This record gives sequence, structure tokens and C-alpha cells, in this order.
Amino acid sequence: MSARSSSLSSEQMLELMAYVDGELEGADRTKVEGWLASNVDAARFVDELAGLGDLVTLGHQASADAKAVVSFDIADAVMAAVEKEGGKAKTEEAAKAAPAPVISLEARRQKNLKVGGAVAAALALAASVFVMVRNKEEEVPMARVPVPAVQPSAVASAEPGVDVDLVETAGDSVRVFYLASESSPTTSVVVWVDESGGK
Amino acid sequence: MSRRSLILGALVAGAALVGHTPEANADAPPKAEVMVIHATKCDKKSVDPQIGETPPALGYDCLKLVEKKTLPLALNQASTAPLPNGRTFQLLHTAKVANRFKVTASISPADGSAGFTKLADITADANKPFNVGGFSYQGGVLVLTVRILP
Repeated sequence: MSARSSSLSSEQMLELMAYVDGELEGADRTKVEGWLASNVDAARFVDELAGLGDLVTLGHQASADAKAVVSFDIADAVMAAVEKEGGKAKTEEAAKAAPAPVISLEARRQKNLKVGGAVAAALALAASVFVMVRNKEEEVPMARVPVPAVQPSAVASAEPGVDVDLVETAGDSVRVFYLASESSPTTSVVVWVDESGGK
Repeated sequence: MSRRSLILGALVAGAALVGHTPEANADAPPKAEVMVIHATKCDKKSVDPQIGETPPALGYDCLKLVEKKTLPLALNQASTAPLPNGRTFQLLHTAKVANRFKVTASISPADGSAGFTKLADITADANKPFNVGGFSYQGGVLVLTVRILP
């Protein structure tokens, strides 16, 4: 915001912002339009605030007091103000006003919007990757939960506090089962010898 | 000697006594409690209340406690338990590591010949039961639930 807008009171700035946002109606709107017609700082503030100089101009076309603003030109207005002040102040104000670059706030907003959008997309992507990785990690213990199906294993885990290594000479008829206990939440280990058809 | 030193000394002495007691018990050999269970297939599920924590049925729904035995588990000395089907179950305590007991379970041959067939090397925490079963007996099988008592 330019240094000249600092000549406006905070209340005026708030009302000008409300005007730019289209929130003012009736007497309030007329009052602000009066400021814009008579106060170069107010006009410049609104123009910089909204970056919609044309819209401000159109808005003032509806006002009978806004003729001076219909063909409002910021550079001309500033120069006119400088002429009025004269002397040392005149020189200082000109020095301040002259180098002030005119930047399209709309363009800057579009640029910021694009950057913001890219950042938001990157954050969303990172969040989705984090969630996927976390879910994958959490699936592991779920797979360890004992299932009712009988799962034979030659070397089993120590989950129930019991490790079993089958002796190779025991033959194929010996299996180890890790089964959910019927009467407790623990896992039971069974070394099972298949003697179907035996004694 | 200050009062604080006396209290500290008493605490240290008490801790030494408390810490010494388990060491004395640790010299005693562990034991294996063996429950011999007859498991049969049946229409109506039935579990002998003396069994306590029900072992996995593996398709045998009727479980009856035949007997309960206690075997000493001296290190590297086999302990045996005769089973109702004429065979013999053997446990050999081979090591104790970090309060876990390593035993080898064996069973005598079904044909009555001499010797034992090794089934598995089992490392179990104290009081954690494991089961060895499947030995044919009277239309069903025998299941042995073993719990090592330190």
C-alpha cells in the first residue's frame, strides 16, 4: 500500500475496504464515493486495494459527484496533488510518488493464488502419501492376529511365549500349529503328530 | 553413624536378602506339569472342567483329562511319562536361557520297539503351556498339555 494512504484514518480505510468488497449501500456508499471524488488518497487506496481500477471508475459513474473520477487517472491525480502542496513538501511528495511502481494487484493475486495452489497440492500429496504409508505399516500387526485356519509351520514365532523347531528326523507327519485358544485370548502351540491309521 | 546412614544400610541389607532368596530357589530343577488328555470326535462338544484352559481341539470336540503328571526337568536328563496307549513320552531339558527353558520332546515308536523319536525342540517361557498330541488312542487321540514350572 502506498505511503499516501497513511493519510487516511483507520475508519476510512475500513469503509473503503467494505466499499471495494461491495458491502456498502445507500448513504454509506454515497459517502465513500464522495471521498473517492474528492480525496486522491482514498481513490488510490481503493485502486491499490482491489486492483480493480476500472471497477472503481464504473462505480463512480453512477454518482453525480463523481465526474472527476470518471476519467480518473492515478498519475494525473498524484501530480495534481503534488502541484498543490508546493515548496519542500512538494519536492518530497513528488519524490515519493514518482518512483512508486504501478503494479497490478490482480496479477499479483493470480500469481500468489497459483503458488498457493501448488503448495496446497504438494501438502495434500504429502499427506496422502503419509496416510498410505501409515496404513501399510498398521496392516502388519493385523496380519499377525491368529486366524482360525490351521497354518502349519516348521519354525514358528515366539508370540505365545513358546518357540518350536521341528526335528528333521520327525518326518512329514509332524506339524506345528499356532491356534487361537478357545478359552483365552492367547495363542496355543500344538506339536501335532498325524497318526491317522496308526495304533 | 548418622540416622540416614543407618536407614540406608538397612535398606541395602534388606535388598540383598530379598535378592538372595530367588537364587536359592533357582538351584532347584524345574518341573514339567503334563496333562494327558483323551480327545475324541463327538456330536456334542464336551470339555472336562479339570482341564482348565482348553487346548486347541483340532477337530476333536470332546476332551477328557486322563491323568496329570509332574516330571522333573534336571538339565540333560531325560524324564519320561508312560501314556495310556502303551507308548512313552519323553522330555529332555537341554538349556535354560534368559528364564526360558529349552526342551526336546520325543515319543516312543507306535510299534512298541525301543528308543524314542524326536519330535521338536521347544523353547518355552515358564508357565506358558504348549501341546504335543495326535497319538492314537481308543478311537481318538492323546493330547499332552505341558507347562514348565520353574
